[in-house]
Amino acid sequence: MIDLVSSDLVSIRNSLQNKEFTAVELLSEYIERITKSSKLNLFNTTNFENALKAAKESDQKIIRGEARSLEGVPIGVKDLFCTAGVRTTASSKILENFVPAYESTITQKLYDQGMILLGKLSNDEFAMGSSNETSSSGPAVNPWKSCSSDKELVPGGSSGGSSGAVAASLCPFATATDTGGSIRQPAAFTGTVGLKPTYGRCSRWGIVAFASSLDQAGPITKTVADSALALKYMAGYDEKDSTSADVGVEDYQQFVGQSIKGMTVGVPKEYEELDLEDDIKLNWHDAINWYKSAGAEIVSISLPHSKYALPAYYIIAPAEASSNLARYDGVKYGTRITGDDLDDLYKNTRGLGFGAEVKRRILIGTYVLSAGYYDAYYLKAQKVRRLIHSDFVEAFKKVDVIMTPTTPTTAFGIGENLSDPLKMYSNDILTVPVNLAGLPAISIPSGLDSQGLPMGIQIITNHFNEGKLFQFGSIVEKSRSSITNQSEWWL
Amino acid sequence: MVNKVNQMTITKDTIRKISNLAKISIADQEVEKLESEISSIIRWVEALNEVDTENVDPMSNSLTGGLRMREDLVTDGNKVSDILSNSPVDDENFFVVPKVIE
Repeated sequence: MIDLVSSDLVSIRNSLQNKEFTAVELLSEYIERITKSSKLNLFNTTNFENALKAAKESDQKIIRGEARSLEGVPIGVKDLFCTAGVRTTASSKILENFVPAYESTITQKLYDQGMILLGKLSNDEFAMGSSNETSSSGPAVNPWKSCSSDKELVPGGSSGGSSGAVAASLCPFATATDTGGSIRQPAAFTGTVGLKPTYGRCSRWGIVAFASSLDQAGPITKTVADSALALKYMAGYDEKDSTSADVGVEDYQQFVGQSIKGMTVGVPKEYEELDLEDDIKLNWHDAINWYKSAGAEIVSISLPHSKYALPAYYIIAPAEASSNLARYDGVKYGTRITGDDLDDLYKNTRGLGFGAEVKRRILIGTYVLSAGYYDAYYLKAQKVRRLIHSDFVEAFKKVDVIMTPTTPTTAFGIGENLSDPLKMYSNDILTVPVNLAGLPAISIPSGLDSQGLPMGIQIITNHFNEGKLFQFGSIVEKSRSSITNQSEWWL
Repeated sequence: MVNKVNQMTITKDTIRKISNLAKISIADQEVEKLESEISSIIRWVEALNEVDTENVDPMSNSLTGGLRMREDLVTDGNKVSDILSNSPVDDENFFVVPKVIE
């Protein structure tokens, strides 16, 4: 019996390569645990049969001494990444039977290192949401519960299937995507490490598009070292993605645990005014002391336009989404619902195929791009976006990293925020500015609040400086108190 | 600068108009709900009007080098069955839709 709960990506990779167990043994344990964890509703589709075949081949490679870097390690993939021959739904009814004929660049890169696809993980429909409640397969459930209540909590979103699956030890590493916080917020809600790389760092090719100028893929893992290892194999130039950056990929693991003595940590003074839960504010102040103890200098910085990031985001992201989602017309692929004529076919297909949040965002996007409103809304938001970006440029002249909480609250109950879109959107207040500026950022579990729920610290750095995220991230990981989930109530 | 959107309110007709532009059928009972939700979201994003953006260039993405171009070369093809594999209705290598011309 392999102890999946205390295993992480690095230890599993090493155990496989040292032949402590076989890929088939490991896979069987994961399959059993996933099957027993159906209450969490984290997987849209499983891929067990193909995975078993792949595991057998991995074992042969390991025996022959031909093991690749992540040979035989199982992975969960957000259901937004196209996987050849394996259903890819984006958690939308409109794609419920879509089976891609091609593989996304990122999943292909990971298979090329020997990784094995366990299955496709739930997300908010088309990645639009902060709670994983808008999925057509129903809400995904957080493996964590508050110590004072039995209610089920959201795992965050949109990558709630990915964060939940890593937190529940159903895979050691899951791919995810982040348009406004969709990797970092779910990581903070589940006690996992979520990395949003620099825009352009990881290829977007073959990922179902939401807002193309903001979307970026990254890993959710248990540890900072795992995140560094995962990024190494996800990152890299891809000529199939016109926004992919031709910037060298580093061996990110070398940064883990490196000293930060004499380096600088920026703390944005505007964020002190935000409506944050008391425990989260205290935790943030604790983290300041951890950095001081590690020899860093704390610098107060100003991000004066950050309070406009959410409104700017809720113009730009829906505008891009309304354009990207025009392709779902019931003609070339996806669900078709017929009507009297072609116009009816489009309207019925989209009216019944999209869920409420997706429709709301397409309509907002259509409105802000429509004749007469384009300048007042869309162009205005793009100008504010530049000011938000400039704030960060100024800040990074003075500091190595910026440190904030990841979220204003810990995980909330399923159904609690669903009826109030603006309240739901406010969850991303600390993560959205990073996407608008295209910066890399990571969320590290930083302790438990008084209810026993995980909190996260977000570290932001300059473009293509991901190494610093791992360097500064390991300080939080070392300094925090234990974050073990005491109860496996769902098993 | 006072722009006309400040006087613009979203009505049921606005919702019907944009849902027609977006090709999304909306049931009558949904229109009212969307009217109130979208109105409050639009009022909220109008906070951006406080920001002085005189002489600020719009930023459409965070790339420093701009979009990369490539030679216009054919790099793959002959994938008819792949392309049709998810089509709801097709015939003789064509996607089929209801008749458009009277």
